[in-house]
Amino acid sequence: MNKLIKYEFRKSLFPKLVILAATAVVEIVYLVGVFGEYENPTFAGILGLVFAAVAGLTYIGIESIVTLYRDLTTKQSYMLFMTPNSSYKILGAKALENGLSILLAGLFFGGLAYFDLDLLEKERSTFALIKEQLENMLQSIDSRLSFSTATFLILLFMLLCSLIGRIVIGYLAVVLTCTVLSGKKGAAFISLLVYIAISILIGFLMDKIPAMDSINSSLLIQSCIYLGISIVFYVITGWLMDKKLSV
Amino acid sequence: MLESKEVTKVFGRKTAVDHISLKLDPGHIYAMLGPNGSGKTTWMKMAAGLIKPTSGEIWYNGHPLEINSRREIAYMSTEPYFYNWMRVSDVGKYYQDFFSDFSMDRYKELLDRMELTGDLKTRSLSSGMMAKLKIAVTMARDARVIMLDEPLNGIDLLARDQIMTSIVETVSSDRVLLISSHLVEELETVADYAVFIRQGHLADFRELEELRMTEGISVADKYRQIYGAGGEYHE
Repeated sequence: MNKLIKYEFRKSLFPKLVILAATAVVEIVYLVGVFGEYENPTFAGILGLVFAAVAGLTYIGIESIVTLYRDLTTKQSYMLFMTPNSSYKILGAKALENGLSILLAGLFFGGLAYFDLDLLEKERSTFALIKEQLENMLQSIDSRLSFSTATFLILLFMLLCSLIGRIVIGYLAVVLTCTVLSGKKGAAFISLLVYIAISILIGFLMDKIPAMDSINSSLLIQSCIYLGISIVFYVITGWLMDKKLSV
Repeated sequence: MLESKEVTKVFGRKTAVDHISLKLDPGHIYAMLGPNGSGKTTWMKMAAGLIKPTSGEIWYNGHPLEINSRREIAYMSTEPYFYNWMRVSDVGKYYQDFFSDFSMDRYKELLDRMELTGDLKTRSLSSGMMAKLKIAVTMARDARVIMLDEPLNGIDLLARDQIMTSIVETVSSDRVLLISSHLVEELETVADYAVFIRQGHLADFRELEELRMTEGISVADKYRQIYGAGGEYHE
């Protein structure tokens, strides 16, 4: 499994380096703004970093689905399916590598945000204003949210679980295209519809979860549900690959 | 050792392989012959576990093919299949990571013989160099079954000799070697048996010595008999 994960990481190394380079550029803009006491570069840097974090994490997830599609539809598939590894192991390595990459990227962006905000607090009196705006933004999402470290971390964990769930459903859509729908007209479109339908259904089910007094408990329950969904769809996708996939 | 039991593969409306039954025993070199589209590659891919049969089964060592069979079955596809980012040395490391029967020393020896170096990027290799690389990495495995699909495609005459030498070196009493090719004469010099595939069917399965003794003809002659004078299939 470790070797499969290693090669999955290697396959997606280039896009990750691009995200890292783009983040470094906006970070430099931000630092110039903070140390030079320029308003515009500071806010441009903050916006750029938020965008880099959101777009970067989303792209890492999408890249994983695209890589699976490439691995199933090009001759490079032989590199994976000639090896003595089961479909479950191959798919598991992809999901784990991707989950780990998103987690590490999340920690990286979280750490960078902490460092940048800390720096801003020391260098500028506007930090209190930014913190207040962050607080307002969180409360607009859910009135129970506040800028506490624990809630923030649990929220990030829930978002990570949700992203992994969506990626595994993306894997299912790709595998459907290459197995039961292979060679059929509109296979990709039908798979996309299946992806959208499952996502809507999950969103509907999540809305049915009764609200709890503690926001942390609610977030943890949602995280567990997303993880459960990921496992269920992982098993279905692995079974389809095992029984139906020809490369 | 490797047995195909009534194996059929259907792609949409086309039957690529139609009820093929054959048994390959260790210690022999088998030539799989047939024109383009006759089903050779599809059968090999099924034996390598890359394609699932529509019906029938392929057995290896008395059991239906499974994931662990891939530890002992080596398959070389006719198309290039390495990752774009790989160098020649990375291909060896990849095989070493996944196949316990892979020998890095043997790989380096074969690369030297094929005049390839580890620093070459696979995406910039010519078709001839790519064919040599595929041969080198496949033959560096000590697999019980080695299947080579069109190994001589795109390779000049002198390099063909190097490749045929490397192939013959691997013959042993506990190994099956199956080679598909259009170059019938090249295989005639090394193969013990010929498997003729025509439109997905097993057209004939003959021991070459017996063919020469009983019918007094070569494999090339038999090929012409089966597929027509031009080597193409005729109804």
